[in-house]
Amino acid sequence: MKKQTILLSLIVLSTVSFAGGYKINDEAKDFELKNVDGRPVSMKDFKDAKGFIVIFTCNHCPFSVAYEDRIIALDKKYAAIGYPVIAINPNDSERQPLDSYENMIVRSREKGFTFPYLYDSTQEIASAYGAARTPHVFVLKNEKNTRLVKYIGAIDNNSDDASQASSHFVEEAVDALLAGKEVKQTETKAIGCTIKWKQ
Amino acid sequence: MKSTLLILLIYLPISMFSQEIKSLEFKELQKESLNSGDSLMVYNFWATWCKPCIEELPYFEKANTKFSDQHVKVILVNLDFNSKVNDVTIPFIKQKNIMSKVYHLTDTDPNEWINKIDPSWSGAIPATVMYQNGEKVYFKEGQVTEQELFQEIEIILEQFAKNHESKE
Repeated sequence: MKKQTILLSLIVLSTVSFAGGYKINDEAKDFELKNVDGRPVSMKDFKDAKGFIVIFTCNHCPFSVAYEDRIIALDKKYAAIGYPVIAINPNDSERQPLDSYENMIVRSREKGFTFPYLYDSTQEIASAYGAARTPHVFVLKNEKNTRLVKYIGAIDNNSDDASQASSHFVEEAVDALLAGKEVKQTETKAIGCTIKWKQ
Repeated sequence: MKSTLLILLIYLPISMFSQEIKSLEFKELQKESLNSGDSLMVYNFWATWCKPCIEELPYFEKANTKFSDQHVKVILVNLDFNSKVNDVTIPFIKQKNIMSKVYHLTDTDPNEWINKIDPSWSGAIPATVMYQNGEKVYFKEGQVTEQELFQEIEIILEQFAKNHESKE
């Protein structure tokens, strides 16, 4: 009887682990990842946060680069009112040397990133969240001792030209949460670079 | 007369080998994909900045010639930014001597059409989709190997042949 229970639990656990990332209203796990200043960063460090704008992004992808200024603008607008940006580089630097930790430090300095730019060296967080491309945003709302996923997807609907974007998905999501409302458009998609998973 | 002939002799070969990119909107692509009759339409989504895309382009080029007499059409759908087409995409096509048909999607809001290709597609490229008789017959997000690509096409062609045999 005991053996069967263990076997059953193992089967259930294995299917759960291959779920393929978070869905809306899933609990998002915290992390402890190295920032470009050498120090570890976790969401629990942010005592005043109401939530987070977690963005999987990197140094080399032209889409990430196209969005850098917009990511900086998001942090500028929302960090002070409870929703700081946390950027995470999910890529394996062996597959893409331009996305190495050293290059992250350079990029952060060059662009004057005001937010943590963390290195997901084991790719465990990217995998748990279900990051599928760069950039890929997960807006989280703090709830009791955890945080729930409230939006997954693109920053806006025009990668090439910020001035032509007619829908600002992340801003709309965070504004809704700040106003105590539900997010209207919870999932969007965009073209982006593949995550460079370890082989 | 002689000089006209000479000019023609020089310009004709150039125009034959120069690859043009057809710029179009997604709705036109969708219309074509669903209205190509028996032809197997193989659309590969790629960009000049996408390393895994470039790596697999030769397989699509090979498929283009290998299956050309079996109603298979390979179309490379480029997703470079509109502002980069003239300076980057076109020179790239010329330099690599790409022979397959190349489209450039002009839509700026991919959220509108990614799910129409396949709801499981995250938007990362490369991705490949195939249509035949107004139906999607294959979709893959990620790289394909030459073997995977050829095998998939062959399986679809075989299936098609079987279905048409049994109708007689």
